[in-house]
Amino acid sequence: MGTGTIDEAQAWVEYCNGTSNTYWANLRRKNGHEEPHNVRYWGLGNELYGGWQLGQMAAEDYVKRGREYAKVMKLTDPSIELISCGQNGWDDWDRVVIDGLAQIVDYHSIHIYTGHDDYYRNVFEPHQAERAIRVCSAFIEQARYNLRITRPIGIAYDEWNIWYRTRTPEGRKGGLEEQFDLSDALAVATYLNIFIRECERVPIANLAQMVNVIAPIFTRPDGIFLQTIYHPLRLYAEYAHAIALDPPSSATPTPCRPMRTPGHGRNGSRTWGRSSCWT
Amino acid sequence: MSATRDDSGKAVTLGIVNRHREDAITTTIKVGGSAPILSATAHEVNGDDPKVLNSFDRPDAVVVQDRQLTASGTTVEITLPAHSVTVVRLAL
Repeated sequence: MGTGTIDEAQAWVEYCNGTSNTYWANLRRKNGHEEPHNVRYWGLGNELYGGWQLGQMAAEDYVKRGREYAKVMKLTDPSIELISCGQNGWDDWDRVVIDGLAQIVDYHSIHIYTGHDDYYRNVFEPHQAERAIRVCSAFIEQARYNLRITRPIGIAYDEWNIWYRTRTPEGRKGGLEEQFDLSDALAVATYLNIFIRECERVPIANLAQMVNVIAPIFTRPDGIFLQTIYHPLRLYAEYAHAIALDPPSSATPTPCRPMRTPGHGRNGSRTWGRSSCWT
Repeated sequence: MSATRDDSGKAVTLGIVNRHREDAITTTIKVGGSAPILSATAHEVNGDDPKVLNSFDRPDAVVVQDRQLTASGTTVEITLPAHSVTVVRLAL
């Protein structure tokens, strides 16, 4: 949405999913794909609140534009599910966008990356995800109540990971590749535990990259190795089951000071929020 | 910590992170009901130090180690080493 047009959005849906005798569906057939790709999930733009995006806009403007994009995309294929562009779940951006687009979207996205050189900060910061999910969920429930929406609206936590070493121009001098240590694997497992605990509110959660840059698999022309975070991802993917349980624990919570953890301001500046943590 | 089960209720998986940097934690997992734990397997992600990385030179600095646990009726005791992730699979 940042640099594209509403016509392009319509064309993409028609190209991917169209079954009629139309220009874009025919182009797909001509390119060797007779059957539609049936792409089900469509995000309405990416991080448009951010100064790093071309086409950055205010939440109110995003709502106005997003509604028109959603309309034409749904007209092209009513079976698609739309994801509104969220920020960190608890920002004003999220509230305005959820109120404005709840009637037409099926999910609202959250992107939060965490990470810090300090060991305890690094392994506890993912609890921000749990706070983000709960606050965002409250916004969604309020909008559903106010707008009398009976169908569910979920959270699509569609970018998450540990990412701090290569986030600044200074840090990128050695390349874009984030190299993960063991404490990052602990933080990733903490995220996965949170997504399981909050699965009723978060039907979708995914990493942005599986191979290279901020990813569990590292490659170069002559080989690959598995980063530390690959291991918890593989174990949970293979062994976690479909039904989440809520077991009581008699463990004593680990005492820890309230901490300050990073988010991103609307203009791309770093902002800081307070949070406490528990195990 | 998280816990999941399959449709039959006979397979349960726990994901447990011990984030203490120095101390291991020994704890007891207890399943509800009367079905005994038939087998318990732990898959542990750990390494020498929280700062250790995998790399082309040392791809196995952090790996998964599997071990069988000894269950007793509906309980199983497990020790979670410092700075580790353990996925525990129970068959009931």
